[in-house]
Amino acid sequence: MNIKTTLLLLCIALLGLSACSTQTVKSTTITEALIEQNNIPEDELLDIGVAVFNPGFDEIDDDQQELTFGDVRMAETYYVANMLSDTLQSTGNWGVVRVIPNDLSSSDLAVHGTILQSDGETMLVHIKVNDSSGRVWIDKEYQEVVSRYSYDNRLQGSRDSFQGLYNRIANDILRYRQQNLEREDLLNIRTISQIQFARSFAPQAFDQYLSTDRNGILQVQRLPAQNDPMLSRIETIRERDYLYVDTMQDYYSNFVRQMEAPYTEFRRLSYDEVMKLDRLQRESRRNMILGIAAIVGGLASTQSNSSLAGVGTYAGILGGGWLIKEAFRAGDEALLHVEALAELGQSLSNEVAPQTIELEERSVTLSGNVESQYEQWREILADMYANEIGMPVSSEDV
Amino acid sequence: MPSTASLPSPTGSQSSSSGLPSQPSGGDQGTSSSTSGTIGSTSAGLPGSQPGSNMPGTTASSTSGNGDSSGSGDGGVDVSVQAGGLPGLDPFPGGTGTLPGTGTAGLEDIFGSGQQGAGTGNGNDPLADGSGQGDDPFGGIGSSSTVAAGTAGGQGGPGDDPFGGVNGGGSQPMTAAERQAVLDGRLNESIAVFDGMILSEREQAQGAANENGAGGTGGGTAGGTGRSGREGDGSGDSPVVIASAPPISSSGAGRMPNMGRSREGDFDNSNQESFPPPADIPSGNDDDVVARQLREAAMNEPDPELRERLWNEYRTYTGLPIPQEAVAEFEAEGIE
Repeated sequence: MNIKTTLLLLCIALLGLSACSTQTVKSTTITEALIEQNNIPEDELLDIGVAVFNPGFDEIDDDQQELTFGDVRMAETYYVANMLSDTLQSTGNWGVVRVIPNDLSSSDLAVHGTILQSDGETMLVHIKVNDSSGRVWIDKEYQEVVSRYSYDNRLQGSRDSFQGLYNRIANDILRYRQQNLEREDLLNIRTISQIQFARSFAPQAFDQYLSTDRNGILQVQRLPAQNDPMLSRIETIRERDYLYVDTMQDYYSNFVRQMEAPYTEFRRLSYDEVMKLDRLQRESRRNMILGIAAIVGGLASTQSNSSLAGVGTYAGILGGGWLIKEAFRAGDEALLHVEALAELGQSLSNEVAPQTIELEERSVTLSGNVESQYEQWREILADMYANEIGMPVSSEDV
Repeated sequence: MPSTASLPSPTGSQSSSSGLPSQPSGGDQGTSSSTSGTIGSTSAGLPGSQPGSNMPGTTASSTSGNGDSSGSGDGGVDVSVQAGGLPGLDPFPGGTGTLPGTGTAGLEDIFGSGQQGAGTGNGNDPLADGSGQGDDPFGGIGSSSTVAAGTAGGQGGPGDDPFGGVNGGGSQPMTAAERQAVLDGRLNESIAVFDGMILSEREQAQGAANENGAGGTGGGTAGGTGRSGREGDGSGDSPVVIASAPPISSSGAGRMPNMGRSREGDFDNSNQESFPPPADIPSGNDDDVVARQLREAAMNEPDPELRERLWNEYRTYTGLPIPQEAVAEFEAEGIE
């Protein structure tokens, strides 16, 4: 193989190397949340329920496994949901926005999210938003890559480092409403929410008011009477449901408040470690490729009889060997940062795990009690309805 | 859910104490004669059963003193007191009919003071005619409704059983309206239990928030303080502006729930008219939840007779003297 071929190979290797090394462009600009300028009539304000995020353990890539800590991720499911809820509420574009523990409550809009990646530098979430009729508003992924300045209190203030992510989600939800829904649609959504809630407690009485079209979208067939006593009872129950949701919101807020400081510190420290880890991994990869290419080039030069080729052979082999050694060194150093990240994650886990467990226990207990109570109410309402229409009451008391 | 103890098993259809453990033996004699009165007392004692009534859920709360169909009970506040919802709420505005009769009965008298889980009735219906046990859907009413009774701390004394004579006197089966009223009472009691549970949870949450120094910013600011401007993003007819949204404090910092969350556009069943309290009723600033519910029930009750009974319930619960004319009225009804 002649020198030209060797040089060609080296050029190809360099080109490949440049393709492998990425350069992340980070911006310090944060997307601001949009606020509806026109006054929104109260009856058009939709309530939003933000479900506790899915931790996304099934979606974790292999290379992210070592950087993902279960307890931290579980805590993040509440944290991120709470941040998004606060963001939506603060815009004033919506009615009541709450983090909901489960599907016990029916909201006008339901936001479901999954955390796909979360470290000090990058947050990647999948968001799905649908209204009570079943129409899907948003179903996409959002990613935010922050810079070190996101952790500078002088620049960021009290804002979360990933506030831009939450703002973008809120903006998309608002834009969808502005571009696709008229007043009648909004009122229809609220009506469906009410009837759905009523139906969940008294299906015999309220099944007739809703139907599902072939697209799976709920349609209002007719409305109950304004003075329907059964509806009055349902509204009473719904007030209790609001109280339950508000109580759970208190728990979530307390939890977020407790974990916010250590979690922010964790993200700031892990950001530095992630940056170093990324740099070392890139360096290791680059040196490995270059080293291999140099060795190959050097070996190829042995085919030539010229003295220059001989020099090239020695240079290629020695240089390639050195580059490979550097690649391994960078890899070893990267492992140190992985261990540092693991230590940070473990430290945060130790701090938030008890709080997370307590929150989950409280949530499960309260939700269980509430659901049990709801079952009792469903039985009573079923008896009432049967009594109203003159049917035999099918009760356990019989 | 709060655990509930079991009610004693009703002993017989004719027994006045079926499902009513507070019944003294002496009450049996009076049951038949007081049957209609007890039914009436039940009906009158269930303000929630009044059509269009907007009682916040107190049921049979006007039955104090009248619930003593068998004599000795001192009536008093009972389960009905706890059946109401939280202040400002209207847990059961829709009534389904008026029960005849003028007497009143506490729900505790109806359902007994024992506790039993819902749906665990033993088939004996204290409100039925004593026959057909097992096929009466209200057989378990006494048991299922006493969750609140047990926890409410009602003051019904022994012998308060306006329904004591229902079974014993071979009473007529309940009408649909009566059954509906009973079910409403059960619902209200259950709601009251729920309210108590939620309130205690909220207190815990707020206590925890206070310990952790609640009232922080929460980091959930949308627009960012200090940033303002207009963004032309082609949003069409509704131009949006970026405004400096005020920092949002995390919820849970001592904020009470929005009790009246029903908004314009929701179905609105509130149609309440408020009546001022009698002169002897104090301001009620130190009322507890039960007293406040009684007060609101009385102030919202359009029926003057029921309203007066509710105020008597309030007086009894808070220890105020009952006006002489009210006592005389109770005596005139033949109820000790």
